[in-house]
Amino acid sequence: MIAKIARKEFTEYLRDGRFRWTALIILALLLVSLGLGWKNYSDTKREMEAARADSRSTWENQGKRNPHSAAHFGVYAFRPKTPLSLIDSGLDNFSGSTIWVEAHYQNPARNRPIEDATALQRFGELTAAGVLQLLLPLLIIFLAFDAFAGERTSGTLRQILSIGVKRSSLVFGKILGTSSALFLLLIPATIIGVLALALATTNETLLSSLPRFLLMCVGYLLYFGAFIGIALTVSAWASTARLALIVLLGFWVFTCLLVPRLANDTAERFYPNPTAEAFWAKYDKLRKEGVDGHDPSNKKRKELEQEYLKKYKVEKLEDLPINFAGIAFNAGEEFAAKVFDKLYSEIWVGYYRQENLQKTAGVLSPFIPIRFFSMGMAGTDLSHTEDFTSEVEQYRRKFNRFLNLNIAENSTTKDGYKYFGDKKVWQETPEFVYQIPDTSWALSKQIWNLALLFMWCFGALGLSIFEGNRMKVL
Amino acid sequence: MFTKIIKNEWRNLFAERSFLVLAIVFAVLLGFGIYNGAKWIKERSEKSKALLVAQEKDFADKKEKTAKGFKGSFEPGNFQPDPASPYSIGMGLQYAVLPFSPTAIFAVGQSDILPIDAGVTISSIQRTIAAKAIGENPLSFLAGRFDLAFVIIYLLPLFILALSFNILSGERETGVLQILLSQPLSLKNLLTAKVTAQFVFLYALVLIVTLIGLLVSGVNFSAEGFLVRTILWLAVVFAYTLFWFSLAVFINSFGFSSATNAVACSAVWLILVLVLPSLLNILVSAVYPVPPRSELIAAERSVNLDMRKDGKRLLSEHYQDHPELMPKSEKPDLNDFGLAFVYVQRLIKEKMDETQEKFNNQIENQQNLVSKLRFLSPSIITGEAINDIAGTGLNRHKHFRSQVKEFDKAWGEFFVPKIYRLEKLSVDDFDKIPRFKYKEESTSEVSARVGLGILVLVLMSVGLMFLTFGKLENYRLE
Repeated sequence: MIAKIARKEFTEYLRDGRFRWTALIILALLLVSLGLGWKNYSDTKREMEAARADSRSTWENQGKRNPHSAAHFGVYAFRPKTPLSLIDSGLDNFSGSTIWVEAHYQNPARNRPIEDATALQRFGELTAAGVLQLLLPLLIIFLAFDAFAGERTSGTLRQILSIGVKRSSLVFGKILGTSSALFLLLIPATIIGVLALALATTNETLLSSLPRFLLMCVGYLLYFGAFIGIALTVSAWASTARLALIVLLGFWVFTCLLVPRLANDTAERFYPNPTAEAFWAKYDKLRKEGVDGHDPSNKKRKELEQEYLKKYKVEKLEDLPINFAGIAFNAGEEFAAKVFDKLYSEIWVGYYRQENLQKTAGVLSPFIPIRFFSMGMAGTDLSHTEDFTSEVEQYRRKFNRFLNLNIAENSTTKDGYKYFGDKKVWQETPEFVYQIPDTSWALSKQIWNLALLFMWCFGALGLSIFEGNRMKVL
Repeated sequence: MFTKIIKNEWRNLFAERSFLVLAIVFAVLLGFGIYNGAKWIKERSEKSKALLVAQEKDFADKKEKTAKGFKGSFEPGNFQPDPASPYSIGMGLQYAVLPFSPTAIFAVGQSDILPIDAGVTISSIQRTIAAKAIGENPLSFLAGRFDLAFVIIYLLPLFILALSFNILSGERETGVLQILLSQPLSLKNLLTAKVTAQFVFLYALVLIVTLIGLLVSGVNFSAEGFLVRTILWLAVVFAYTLFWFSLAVFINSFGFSSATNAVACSAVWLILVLVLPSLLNILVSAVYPVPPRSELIAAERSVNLDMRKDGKRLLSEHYQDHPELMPKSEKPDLNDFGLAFVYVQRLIKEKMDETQEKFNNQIENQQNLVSKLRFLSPSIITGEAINDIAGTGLNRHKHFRSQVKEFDKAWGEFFVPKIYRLEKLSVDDFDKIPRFKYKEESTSEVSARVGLGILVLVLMSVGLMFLTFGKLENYRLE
C-alpha cells in the first residue's frame, strides 16, 4: 500500500508543471554553482601553487645575508583550498589565505577574498551548498504543502481512509513519494558533484575527500528529511492548503533568514570581537612584564648569558665557540612563543564562544546545523581555519629555530651580524607543507551538529506520523 | 466609496490576529536592525576617536619634551627615542579616519571590510600594526549582519507579499469579491483602494518605528547632510515598497488561486533578492577579475635587499642622485641602519602602492558595472542606494581613499627629506605635521546616483500597475 501511495505521489509530481520547472531551475543553479566552484578551486589552486613556488624561489635566491635578517624578510605560507570547497566555500571568503612567517611575530592570516568584492557579494555567494541549504527546502515546501491539506479540501482524503488505508501507511507513502521526487533531482546533482570533484583533483585527493563527501551527503539527506517531515506535519495540521503554505514559508524565513543573522549579531554582542590595538597593547605588556607577571625577556637573557659562560667555562661572550646572538634570538623566540600562545588562544576562545552560541541556535533552525556540518566536512569552517594557522605557527617556530641555530653554530659572538648565510642555508631551510586534517578529526568537531540534524530529521518525520494519525479528515 | 474601502480594509486588517502578530514582529525586527546599526557605529566611532585623541596626545607629549630639550634615552631598560626624530614619528602609523556619515545607521554596508581608519606611514604598511590587524571572526561575515538595510531589503518585501499575495484571490475564494462587485464599483478602484490602504499602513509603520529608532539611538538630526540623506532614504523605501505592492497585484491579476499566488510571490522574491544578485556578482567578477592577492605579496617582496650588506651602497647612490637631501653641516653615516631602512622601505612602499592601485582600479570597474546592472533587480537598486545614503558603500570610501593618498604623500614629504638631511623637528614643526581632515562628498552626487535608482523603481512599479490594469479587464470571478 505504501508503495502504491508513493508511486501515485511521485507520478503526480512529475505531471505537475510547477515541480518540473522549479526542479529544472534548481538543477541549473546547482550546475552553475558547481561549475563555478570547480573553476574557483582550480584557479585558486594554480595561483597558490605559483605563489608558493615563487615565494620559495625568492627565499632560496636571496643571496648572501645574515640569517636573522633573512628571518625578518621571512616567507609566506599559503592556505590550500580543500577539494570540497568547490561545493561549500564556507568561511574561505572571510578568512585570510596567507600568513607572513617572520622573526619575532606570529602574524594573523591576511588577504580575505571578500576585500576584493563589491557590495553585491553581500547578497550571498552562489555555491552548491547555498542552493542545497536555501533553495531545496523551498522546493520541498512547494511539493508537500498540499499533501494532506489538498486532499482534504478535494475530499479524496476521506475516500482513501474509508477504503481502509492505514493512516501511517498514508504518511509513509507521502514521505516516500516526496523523497523519490527529490531524488530525481539529487541523484544527477550528486553525480555531477562527484565528476566536478574528480575533474578538479588528482586521484589521491579524490579518494581522501570521498569519506568527507559521503558524510556531507548524509548531512544533507538528514536536512531534507527534516524539511519533508515538517512540511507534511504542517500539511496534516493546517485546515487549508493556503494556510499550510503560509506557515511553511514563514518557517523557512525564520529558519534560513532570521535565526542565522539574529544568532550572529547576538553572539557578537555577548562576545565582542577583539581589536588589533588591544591585542598588540597586551602583547607589549606581556613582553615587558613576562607571561606570568615575572621573568620578563631581558631578565631571561641575563640568565642565559651566565648559563652559557658557565657551560663553556669562559669569562666573556666573545670567547664562546658559538655566536651568542643566535642563542639569544632563539630564547627570544621561545619566550615570544609563550606570549603568542596565550594571546592567540584568547582570540580563538572568543571566536569559538561566538560559534557555540550560534550552534546552540541550531535548536531553533535545522539550517544552522547543516551549514556548520557542511562547512566542517568541506574543511572550510572555523576549526579548519584554526588548524591551518596553528600549523603555520608550528612551522614558523621551526623556521626561526633553524635560522637562529644556524647563526649560533656557524659563527662566533665576535662575528656579530657579519656572518652571512648562503644559498645552501636557504635551501636547507624547512619548507611549509600543509595537510588537511583527516575525516575523523573533522567529524569529531561536528558531533553536536550531526546530533541536531538527526534530531531534526527523525523528530520531524515522527511528528508527521503523529500528526497524520490525528489529523481531521474533513 | 474609495475611502470607505480603505477604512474597511484597515478595519479588516486590525481585526485579524495573525496580521497583528506579523506587524508587531516586523516592527520589532526593524527596531532590532536600528539598534544593531547604532551599536556598530558607536563602537567603531569610539575606537576611531580614541585613536585620534591618542595621536594628538602623543604629538603634544613629544612637543613638550622637545621644548624641554630632551634628546631621548639610551639607558638599557629605559630606551626612549628622541621625541623630535622625524624617523620615529614618520615610521609610526598615523591614522586617517573616515567619520561615519550622519545617516550611517541605515546600513553597516561595506564598513566592516573597508577600513574606516587608514594607517599612513613613511614605511611600507607591511611592518605596521595595520598589516598585523587581528581580524574579526570570519564567522561574523557568513550569516550577514542584522542591520536596518537587511530588514528593508529582505524582510520588507516578504512582509508586503504576506499582506497582499491574496489581495484579490482571497476575496474571490471567500465570495466577498462577487458581492462587492455587485455594487457600483469597478475592480480597478477596489484593488487600488485596497492596495492604498495596505501601503499607507505599512509605510507609516516603517516611518514611525524608524523615527523612534533614530530618536532613541541619539542620531544628530542637525548634522550636515542628515536631512537630505534621510529624505532620500524615505524616498527609496517608498519606491521599493511601491514596487513590491505592484508586483503582488500584478501576480494577483492572473487570477490564480491564493496558494499558487503565494508560490509565485515567494519564487519572484527568491529570484530578485537572492538568486539574481549572486548571479550578477559572478558576472561582475568575471568581467573585471581581481588579480590574485599573491601579486601584492610578490610586490612586497620584489625589493629584496639586505640593509646590512647593501645599505651603504644604496645610500651613497641615493645621496648622489638627490644632492638636495645632503645634510648641510655633517656627512651622513652611510652605515646607518635606519637610513638604509628608510630607503628600502620607500622602495617597497612604491611597489606595493602601484600593485594596490591595480586592485583598487579593478574593484572600481566592478562597482561601475554594478551601478549599471543594478537596474535588473530592485533589491540591488535599493541595496546600492541605501549604502550610498548611509555612506558605508564603495563610493564614499573611494572618495576617502583618494584623500588618504594625498595625505600619505604629504606625510612622506614632511618627514623623509628631514630624515635624509639628518634634521630634527623644531618645537614649531610639531604644529606643521600634516593632519588628516576628511572632506565630505557632495550630497548632490549622492542624490543623483540615488535619484536615478528611485526613478527606475517607480517606473518599474508604474509599468507593473499598467500591466495589471490591462489584465483586470479579463479577470474571471469564478
